[in-house]
Amino acid sequence: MFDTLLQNLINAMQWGSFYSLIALGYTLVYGVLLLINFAHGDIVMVGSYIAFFVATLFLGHYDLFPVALPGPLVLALTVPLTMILTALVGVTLERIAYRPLRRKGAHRLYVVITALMCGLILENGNLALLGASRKKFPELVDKVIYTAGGVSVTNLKIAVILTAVLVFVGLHLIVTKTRMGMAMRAISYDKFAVPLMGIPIDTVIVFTFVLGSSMAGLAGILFALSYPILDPYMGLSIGWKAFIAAVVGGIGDIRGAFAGGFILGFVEIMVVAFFPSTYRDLFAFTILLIILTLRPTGLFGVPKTTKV
Amino acid sequence: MKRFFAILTVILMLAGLLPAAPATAAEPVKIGFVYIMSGPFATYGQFAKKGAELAIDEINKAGGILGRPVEACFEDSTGKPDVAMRAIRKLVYQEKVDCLIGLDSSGVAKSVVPSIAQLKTPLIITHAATPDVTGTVCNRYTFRISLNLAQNVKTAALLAARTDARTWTTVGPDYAFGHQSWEYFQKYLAEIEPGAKFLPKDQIAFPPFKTTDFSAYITKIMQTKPDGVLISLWGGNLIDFVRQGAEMGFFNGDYEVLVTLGAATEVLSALGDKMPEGLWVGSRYWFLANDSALNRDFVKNYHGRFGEYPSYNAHGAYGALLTYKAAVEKAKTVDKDAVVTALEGLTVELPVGTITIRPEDHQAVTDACWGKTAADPAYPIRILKPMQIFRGVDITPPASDTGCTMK
Repeated sequence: MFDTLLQNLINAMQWGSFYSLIALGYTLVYGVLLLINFAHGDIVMVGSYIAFFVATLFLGHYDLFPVALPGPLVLALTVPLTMILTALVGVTLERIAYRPLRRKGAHRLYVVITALMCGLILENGNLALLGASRKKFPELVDKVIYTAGGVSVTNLKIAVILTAVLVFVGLHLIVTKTRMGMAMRAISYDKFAVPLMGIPIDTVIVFTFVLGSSMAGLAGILFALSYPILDPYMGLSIGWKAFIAAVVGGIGDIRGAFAGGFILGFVEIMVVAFFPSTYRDLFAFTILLIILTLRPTGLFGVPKTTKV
Repeated sequence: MKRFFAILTVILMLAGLLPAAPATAAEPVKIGFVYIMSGPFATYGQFAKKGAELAIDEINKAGGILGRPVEACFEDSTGKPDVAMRAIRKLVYQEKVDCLIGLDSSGVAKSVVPSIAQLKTPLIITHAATPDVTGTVCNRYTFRISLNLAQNVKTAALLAARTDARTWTTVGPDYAFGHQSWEYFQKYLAEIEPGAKFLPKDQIAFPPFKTTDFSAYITKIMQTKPDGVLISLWGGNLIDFVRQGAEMGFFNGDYEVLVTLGAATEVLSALGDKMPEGLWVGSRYWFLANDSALNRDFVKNYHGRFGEYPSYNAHGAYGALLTYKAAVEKAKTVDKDAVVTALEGLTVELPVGTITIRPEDHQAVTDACWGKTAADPAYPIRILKPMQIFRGVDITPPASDTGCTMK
């Protein structure tokens, strides 16, 4: 019984890590711009595909780079490159889709719809460009399985959980301790006064998108390593759920995204473990609804009054 | 000037006449194919298309059907009932096809089959397995040449009865297919082996179709310590499940594992050497099962042309064309009603073996092959060793049980 509980706990930690990593992207952008970037789940998908192409490039699958490097080295190159390239995609999206609307003073509703459409364009663009057949992500590191009693865990699972924790600590420090973080919080507090104080608002927003999208890239790599089949719709359902996790945690707050992600992962896994498995989503979302009823702004959210 | 017009008239007449003359002599027989061509399950449509193209080239090279060439129109069902219905209407009314072949999803099949009767065009189903299309919603124009769910699960139950396992559980997709597979399995196994026990609802696992992480379901099944597990996951779900299960020790041999669609070549090639050995796996068609000349040629030509072994969906589309050809030759016309009458009770040899379409419910009585996964240096994928062939008559439930009230 104890074995089973521990095994389920590890399962929940890994799955929750993915929710957390993706929820962080939603919350960062919302925290600064009050924009729900609905394209974020699809940016994770783009991250996975970028990781796929970078990894296969260094494995010598294309003529461009005819030498096959060893797996761990490829991984070491893939992580930073994918994060940079995915960040570029996020910034491009901000530049061509969100910024023009912001400049023209469009209502937030229009920006949200634009984000939804960007997501659809990314999905269908990928489908048109790369075709419908799914890509198999190469195995870059040998899997090591540790078994103790009835509990088994792989090195990859440990890496995923550790990465989520490190990313959380890192982001929390950036937002609370650095000047850029202070600027981000200031914009979220009053977007009209901030430029008057001499803070370059566009730079801060670009920085936010760089942070959010590079985390999506990181989540994309880890996701592709853990579940190595890529398809254009892979970001859709996990993106929505991570968004819900961010809201439950209190959207706009880093701690909230982290906690919300783990709570959702935990609830989903435990319902399957101890109840008829078909009740998973019913129970999971009922529990989240109860949390929101008790704390309508999410676990870490603070009520904000909208200025007229 | 007059002469110029006269020449022009002659040229125009010739131009108009020349192509028209041969066209009436050999107007093509048109076949409409409806498979999933886009989205996560697009591989199924691609396989079917390859099988269909191979069959059409072979038939045309050998003189066509009744001396007429065969022409294919492919449409994408996208796996959605409304889209599939539009595609079928387009094929029947605009393309004026003589026969429809296809359907991957059971959900799609169940909702379009009732309308086929109004379109008065024969439909040969090659993949969708729901018992209902040759059962409760059966009709004169709908046929199926592939194994259905009942036949496949009956085979699983026969195999299960041969093992020492007494207590059984299941992992299946959380929609009609997974639930029906488990329901039929319990029914058939309880008939053969009255002592068999089945775990209750809160201990079996039905992950939703979109599940990526199966760890909770794997842990759940392992915790209940069953003697045997029936797995009815398929496609990408099955690939993910096997990969993650292997890491968590699910396949360490503590219990018997029966995978109803594990011998699908796309699953085996995606998993490669990650597919554990010693699992019982089934399929609709296994390319090494039947040692007939027809099957050897089919596998050789398919492998030569596409560089891979034929999947069951490729075989389905290929077999459907052979079946249609046989029916037209029996009816000596492509008239739709005459072909339907010819299809009823038709016996035809396909690569999978000789099948007979029952007139009562239009389900083909066809052999099934199961086997244990094993490595073989001659093949890049796991193959089935030993193989068990089950005869069609032994695994097909009697027509009176299907709920079909056509006759």
